[in-house]
Amino acid sequence: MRKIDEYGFERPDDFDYESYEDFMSQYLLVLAKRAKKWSDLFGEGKSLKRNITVKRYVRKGIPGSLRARVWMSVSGADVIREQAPPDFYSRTLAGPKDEALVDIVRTDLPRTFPDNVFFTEDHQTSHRQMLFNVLVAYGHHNQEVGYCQGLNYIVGLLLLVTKDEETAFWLLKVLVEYTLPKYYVCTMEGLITDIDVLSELVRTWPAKIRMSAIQAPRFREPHFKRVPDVHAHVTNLGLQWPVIATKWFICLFAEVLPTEVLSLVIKFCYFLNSIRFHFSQPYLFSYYYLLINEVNQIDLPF
Amino acid sequence: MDTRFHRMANRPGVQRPNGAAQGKICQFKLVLLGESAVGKSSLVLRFVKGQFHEYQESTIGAAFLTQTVCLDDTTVKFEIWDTAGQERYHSLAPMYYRGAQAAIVVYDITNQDTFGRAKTWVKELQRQASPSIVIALAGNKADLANKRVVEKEEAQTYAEDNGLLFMETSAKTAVNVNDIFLAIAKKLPKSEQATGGAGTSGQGRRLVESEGSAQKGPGSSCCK
Repeated sequence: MRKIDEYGFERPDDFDYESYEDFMSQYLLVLAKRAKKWSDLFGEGKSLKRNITVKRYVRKGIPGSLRARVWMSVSGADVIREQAPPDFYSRTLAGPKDEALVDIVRTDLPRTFPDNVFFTEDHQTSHRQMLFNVLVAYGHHNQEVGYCQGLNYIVGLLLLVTKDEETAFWLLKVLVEYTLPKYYVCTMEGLITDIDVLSELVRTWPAKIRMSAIQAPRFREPHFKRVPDVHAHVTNLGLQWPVIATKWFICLFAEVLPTEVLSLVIKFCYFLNSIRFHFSQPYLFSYYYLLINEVNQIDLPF
Repeated sequence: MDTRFHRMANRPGVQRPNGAAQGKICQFKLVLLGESAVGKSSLVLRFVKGQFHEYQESTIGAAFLTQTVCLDDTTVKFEIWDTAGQERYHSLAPMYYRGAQAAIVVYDITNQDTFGRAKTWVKELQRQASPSIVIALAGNKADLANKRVVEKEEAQTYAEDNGLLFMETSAKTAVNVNDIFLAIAKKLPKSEQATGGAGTSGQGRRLVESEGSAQKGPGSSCCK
């Protein structure tokens, strides 16, 4: 089997090919069944409604081939595209350029997923030019944001999934303007607010878990028994929350999570059209463990 | 790798961090600042792991690493905060340099604007960081001397006028990378009183000898 996954990232040295093959041989059947259901629901010429069935389908997983269309649909990006003139993207891209913005985007091109085959210069289907186009077009379209480092990873991921720069442009627009408002502007005020919310949730979470354990059996499981007080720990270290969480929120967990999980994150983002997904119980639980991991790397005496 | 560290590690006065109770360990917080793509992360990667990537991923927010160097009878442990260079992330910078005892302000010798930006960082640190902070100026990408636009003398004079340590470095060829960290380590106060926490004081924190918390990663350049 190839050393490179379907998204063009190198598999780690300790990747367990045997278990993966075992798993895939079973899982392919599930995927085939799922693809059939999806094509009944959202085949050629059909449109997608936001209802409970779709929500269930989305939760189970969108087939790779439909992902771009489903994201466009559930995020509302296709409505925004329809409202704009048909050549909006190409005209934006062809417009006059701000040299400073072009320069900084160009600097980041070879620094975006340098280990991914689709982002190497000589690859025949290199995404680099598309990455450049989307970032430059968007930077000129939305001058309040311009180019913010971190968007390169997001557009990179959108391109790996959609393989189409115009689709990536519209999805980026929804993400930056509706899903994560004020994250990427100069003041980053949306980001700072959401990080405050995370901090507060982490602070109150252990107590909530202890309360819930009285009623809900699933919170009596051993890993919930000793929920460490991460908030107190972070405070004792003299760390400020943005130090830990900026990268997670800005890049939507690129670098922290595997690609398949990332595309899940993006999916929920679009479906809920908000970063609220961050703060739902299961995510918060994962945060807790990401946090513990992160804090443990900060090797201070305590 | 710089052999000096290995020689030092064999000197009788230097102990492993978790060894017998001789010598002391000081821990310092160090922050890297400078324009985007000047090589901040590459300097840290070279210093901590001895590696270099031609295309280093852009840093979002900040990254954290540690490395120890040995200095006579003292083990100096650096907590290194590597920051994002883009202007947009500037508002987060005070969180990183707050309580830092040392800073390396980096510019790219092939790019005049980055030198101007470095001067702005120095001014900000002098005004807002801890008054006793040790600041080093690093003119990185010294291997690209044929594309040089910032003259060494100019930077040297600026550094002297402002009381900064100064070196031209190359993360790519490793020139002066260990040296600049070592020069900072030498200049940092390592007195008995240096017991304040990194987050609150301008002084280094002295650790108890049995701590054993010093990084012993693959690239750790001393105390092996």
